[in-house]
Amino acid sequence: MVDIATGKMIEGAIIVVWIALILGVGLWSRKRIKASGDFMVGGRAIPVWMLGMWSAGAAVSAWAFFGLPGGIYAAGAWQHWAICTPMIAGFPLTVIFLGRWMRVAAKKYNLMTMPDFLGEVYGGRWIRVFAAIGIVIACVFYSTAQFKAIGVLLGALLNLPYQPAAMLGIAVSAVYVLLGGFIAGAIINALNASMMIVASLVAVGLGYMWTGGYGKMLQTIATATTNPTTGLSTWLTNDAALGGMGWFFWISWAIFLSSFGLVGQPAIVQKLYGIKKPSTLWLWGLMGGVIFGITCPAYCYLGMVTKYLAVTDATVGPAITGLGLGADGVIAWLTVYKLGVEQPILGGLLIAGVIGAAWSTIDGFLMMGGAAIARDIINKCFRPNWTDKQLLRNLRISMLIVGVIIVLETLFPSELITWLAAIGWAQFAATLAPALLLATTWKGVTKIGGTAGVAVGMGVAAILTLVYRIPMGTGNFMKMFYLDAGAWGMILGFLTIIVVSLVTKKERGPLYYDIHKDVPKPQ
Amino acid sequence: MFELFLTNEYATLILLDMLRGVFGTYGWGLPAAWQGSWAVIYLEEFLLWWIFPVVSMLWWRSWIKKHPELAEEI
Repeated sequence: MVDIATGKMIEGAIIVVWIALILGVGLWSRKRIKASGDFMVGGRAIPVWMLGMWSAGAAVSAWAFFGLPGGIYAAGAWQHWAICTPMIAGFPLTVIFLGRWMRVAAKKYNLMTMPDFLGEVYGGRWIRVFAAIGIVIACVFYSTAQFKAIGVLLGALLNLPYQPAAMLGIAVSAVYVLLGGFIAGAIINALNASMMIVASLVAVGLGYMWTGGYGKMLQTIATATTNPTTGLSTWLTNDAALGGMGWFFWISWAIFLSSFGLVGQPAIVQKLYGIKKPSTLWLWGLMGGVIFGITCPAYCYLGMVTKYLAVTDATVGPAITGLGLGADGVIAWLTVYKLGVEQPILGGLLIAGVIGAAWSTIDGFLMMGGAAIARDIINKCFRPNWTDKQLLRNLRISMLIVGVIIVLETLFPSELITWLAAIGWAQFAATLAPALLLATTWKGVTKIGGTAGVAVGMGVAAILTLVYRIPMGTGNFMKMFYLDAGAWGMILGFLTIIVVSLVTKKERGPLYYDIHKDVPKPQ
Repeated sequence: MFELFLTNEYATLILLDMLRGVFGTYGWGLPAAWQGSWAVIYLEEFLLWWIFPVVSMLWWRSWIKKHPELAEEI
């Protein structure tokens, strides 16, 4: 046991060393960036294991390492059941349905972004524009969750106000991305994912020590949270916790958004363009699933462990509430205030794991947000004559602009981290997943069908989220609409592509005819 | 301690924990009130976490080995 000041100093020293290491890799990678292809996809020569680790880290993000434990502590274990676990399947599903075509077509069509792929399969500029708009909307929600996590943790650790702490965290990520692009991201996130695995094992070991086992932990929580009238625990029984909407929530996330919806997450899937050998894609799917399956449930477990601590020790709940962060204070209390006193080195490792998870996603957002503006909209639709040097310079400028926008977002108050990230994830899935999945599996798609599907998926998810989902809250929204906003966007996106494609002219992009070789190319 | 090495959190261990309760005198077992929720988690975690990624990606690996031309740049 040490005093809290010494504990914070030890944890802070671990984080400073970690930041120095990350920035050092960024500086080293800078020399290896010669063209836009190096910057955006690492010259398509990155070992698959590195990208598997990066994609897993991007999928986990601060949402799973920070928001989800808080959400589980506050609202119940069902969030683990419905949201976290099905994402493990999303990685192999991506390889099976989309990955091979993304990678084998990448050189011929110079693919670097998800709108690139859609534009080459469906043809036309509007599908790129709608996809890029959906990406920017989703980025706003998802990135807010990341910098909230960094701001809360670094702020608690370094005794800084939330906003400068969040800006510091984002600045580190922006510096290494602008310097070293995809190459720096791949190396740094292999380190981040390694740290996340270590942190997860530490988390599980500590949780075991504190609770005395999974069964004992759950029985204790169940006893403390059982409703005497119904006899059900509103914390452990999914349907009771969700007011009777548990299965609709599960359908929304497990069937649509978490599993197949992973196909539409550019921060995760765009990495496939950088893999050196297309035949090794299976390893990306396996590593992504396994690393996600090791790390995400471990931090969900910390949410359950904190609930156990709160029901067995009356001082824990008020200590978390006292931080003034609501449920987002769970990991901050556990790592900085509890472990800072009891085991500061392990606390430092857990904090490094969370920050690494946030970085692995923020860098992806900077890259794809910048690419959506500079490449997908301006270069591909309006300024096709840029030289590669101009494109590289404008990519860096756009990423800097996106970084500044993300930093400015720290000035606004935000909802619980779990929900910000979940909204962003659902928006990505609704915008991109239907068009991407149908592009490789159904030969009936057309240019207008694909464009309409992306627009409908993007629009339905955004409108339902902004007009109903955020003002009403999750429970009330589900009672009125049954499915999540993103699930409606995804379902209607699928239906729109199918119906519109059936009744419109059979115009398609050039990549369509490579995928569906039996369909004759128009002369 | 065996549980610790298998990281108590995960599906295999949850399954072991459950089986210990069903077939032995200690362990968690499967209380009836939770069957609609945690029983599903056991099944889902076990299938998605251990079986589906491993089986599907090993199948994909053998499939692409049989058709190496499909993994060439177009």
